[in-house]
Amino acid sequence: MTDLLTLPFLVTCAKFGLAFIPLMLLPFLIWGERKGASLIQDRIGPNRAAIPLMGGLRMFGFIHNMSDGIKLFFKESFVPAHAHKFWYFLAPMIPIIIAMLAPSVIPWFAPMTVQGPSGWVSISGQNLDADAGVLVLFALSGLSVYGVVLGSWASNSKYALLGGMRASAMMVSYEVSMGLSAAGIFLLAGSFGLTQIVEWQGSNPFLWGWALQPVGFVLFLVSLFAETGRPPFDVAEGESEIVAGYFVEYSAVRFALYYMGEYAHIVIASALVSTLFLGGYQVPFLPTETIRANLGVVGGGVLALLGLGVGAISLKIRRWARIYTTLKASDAADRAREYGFLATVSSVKAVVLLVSALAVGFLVRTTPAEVAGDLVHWPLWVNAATALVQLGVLLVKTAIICWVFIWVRWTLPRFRYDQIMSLGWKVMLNVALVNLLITALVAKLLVGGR
Amino acid sequence: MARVVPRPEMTLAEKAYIPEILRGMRVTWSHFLKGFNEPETLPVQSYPEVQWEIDRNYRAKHRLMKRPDGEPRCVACFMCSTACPARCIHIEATESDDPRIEKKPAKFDIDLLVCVFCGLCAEACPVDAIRMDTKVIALAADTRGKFVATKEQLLDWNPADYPASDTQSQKAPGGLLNAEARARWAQGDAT
Amino acid sequence: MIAQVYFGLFALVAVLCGATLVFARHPLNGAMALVGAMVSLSGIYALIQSPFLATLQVLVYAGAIMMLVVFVIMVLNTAKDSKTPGIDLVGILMSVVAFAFGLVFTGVLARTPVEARADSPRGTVQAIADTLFPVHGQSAWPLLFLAVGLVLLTAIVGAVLLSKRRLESPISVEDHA
Repeated sequence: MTDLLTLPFLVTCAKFGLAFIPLMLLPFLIWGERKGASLIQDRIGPNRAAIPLMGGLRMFGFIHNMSDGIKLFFKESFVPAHAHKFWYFLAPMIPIIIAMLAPSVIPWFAPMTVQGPSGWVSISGQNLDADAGVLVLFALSGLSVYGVVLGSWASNSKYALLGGMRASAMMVSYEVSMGLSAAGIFLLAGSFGLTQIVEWQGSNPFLWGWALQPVGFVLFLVSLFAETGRPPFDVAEGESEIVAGYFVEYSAVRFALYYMGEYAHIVIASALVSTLFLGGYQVPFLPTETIRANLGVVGGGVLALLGLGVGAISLKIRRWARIYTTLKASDAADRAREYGFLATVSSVKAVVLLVSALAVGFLVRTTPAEVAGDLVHWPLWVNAATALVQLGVLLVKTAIICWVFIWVRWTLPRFRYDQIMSLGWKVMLNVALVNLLITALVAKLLVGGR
Repeated sequence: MARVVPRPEMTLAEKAYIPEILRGMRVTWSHFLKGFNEPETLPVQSYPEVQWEIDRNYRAKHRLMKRPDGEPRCVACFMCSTACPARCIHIEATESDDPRIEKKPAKFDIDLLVCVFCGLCAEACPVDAIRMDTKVIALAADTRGKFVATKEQLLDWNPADYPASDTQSQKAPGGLLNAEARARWAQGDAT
Repeated sequence: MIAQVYFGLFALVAVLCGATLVFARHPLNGAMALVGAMVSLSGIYALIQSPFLATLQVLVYAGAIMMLVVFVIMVLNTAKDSKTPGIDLVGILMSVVAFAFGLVFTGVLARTPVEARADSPRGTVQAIADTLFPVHGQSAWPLLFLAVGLVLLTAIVGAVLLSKRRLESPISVEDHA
């Protein structure tokens, strides 16, 4: 069993922790969805659930995730009569399994070299460094449709079955246009591997995927809306039975699994879009080697940005605290006190971050550990810090795309099912094909390469 | 004869749908910014800290009116109970101590879970004994039994909550105007 | 060593799924068993250095083809008609034939020399692309690729034509929403 302890295997086990990133981003996404939706609709979102600490901490409605989770955990979990038990139990697990597997192919940071027992070992940013990286993601999203299909059929309910059939037919049709719209990027980058695609995009934001393939970007985004079953393509959840579509017969924890699976898919889809079209982990205008060479300045810059951001948040919270004392609400005093506390905490954090930014900027110097011809090897802490910065950049881009998901949800009315199918097969497929054709022609004629 | 509604054809920009989506997204973004930056301008009411004004005419929980001596005006005529479409009023009559009045209610129960708040009982009462102007609209209890309003609960209202000019009820038996009218009648005045 | 464990796992799952497929009462149980067999086959492909093929196996077979099969089974609800008896004369005969065929197949395979190293990069995307679409030299692969594409196109066009209603019937008016 000695091959269990080799460095690559251990590194793979360690990188499995990255698979939890969508699940960790989930509470933020759900909170952002509810608050963002409510602010778009001119109302304040959930803001009542509180932790009984210091007279009630509401954290702007973030506690609702916890309370909803606890409520779903304790709800009665029933199995409908004449349901097909095995598939009924299995179906909700499938979206979660896919959501845990999919982040393995997304590169979370640039490849780095680490001193192994026998020379320098290269560690790539993704857990599954396969040459056919994106195809694995497409395969996994194809498998996730089984969750819908089995769940709807196992409920032994006609409405669930109808909803599930329509939803899965829609998902399968948009997988085709999803693959074809991204095909332009594969053509230009010359590989399916996601790390290669991100490296090809470089660090100039105007050379990322969205600028080189704008049509493909829009088409891919629209196909992703349909793949994840998000409005305006939510025939599964909203339409045929106004209740819950294919998971109408699920309650408690199984409903929570479906719900979490859907939101996890949104996070993974956003990460995929960011990787293919928005440069992935690349920091704008800062290639990886530049970051490693000037880690002090870059680290200081990042900390300074964070400090400024937290400072802005603390100013905003202070303003809200000031406003709340003028409102008639009888809990105004509590809210003002909580907001004051939060503002103080964030101000302190901002100051700490700014000070550490200055310290890091002036004090940190990085030197390469070994230069072997063309390859420069850096010490482990330099690589780790760079990886953290790039991970943060990818998470910011993912968050922006998740916000676009939420934004579009509350902008557009729902499409009718025949409109969805005709859009997927008659419009998007053709546009994607033409896009691919033009890309291939331009690539061949102008660049002359592959 | 069918009337043809002329619908304007979609322009090419509209058909592409993407520019329209972007226009819509700009609208929702402006709403989001307004809510984020100025939450005090949102038309949101922090219930239950802020409650809205309820009209006196709104049909809320019932109350039983009282005579000047504190007894309920109700003469147990069963007209409200008969008029109620939900059959939620249950009355038990007993002999009244006042010789001018025949009956009084021993038990007056309204099951508020069954009541549809239609106001027909208040319309049917000949002596203005029951009204629905308490402005109490939030009813909450732990068990079903606690939702049955008894005579004591219905008589339990504070006169200071209600307007002082309550002239219409004075004509009912026991009221001031009624007493004056009966006095004039006893004296032989025909008005 | 790890590879052996994985191979044992995948092979076991594939065999069990195959057995379930054959002996299952409900057609959907059999279809999902087939999906499981496809996925474990894909794992075996990945073990022999063919990641592209493994991915395509899941993407095409388990993700699309079996999805259609599962669709048909669910929508048409064929469970009600599956009253075929499990074991009868035809079944026993076919089992004997299949077993004999398996024996012959295994014998042939055991005698054929396999010329492949376990770590040759023949299964990567790059290698397959270089073989299919060679930049230099002549090869018949591109032509075969196009021919297969043409065959699939014929199948699609045929399916669409067969399912389309007659053009002169009043039902087939398209609704431009």
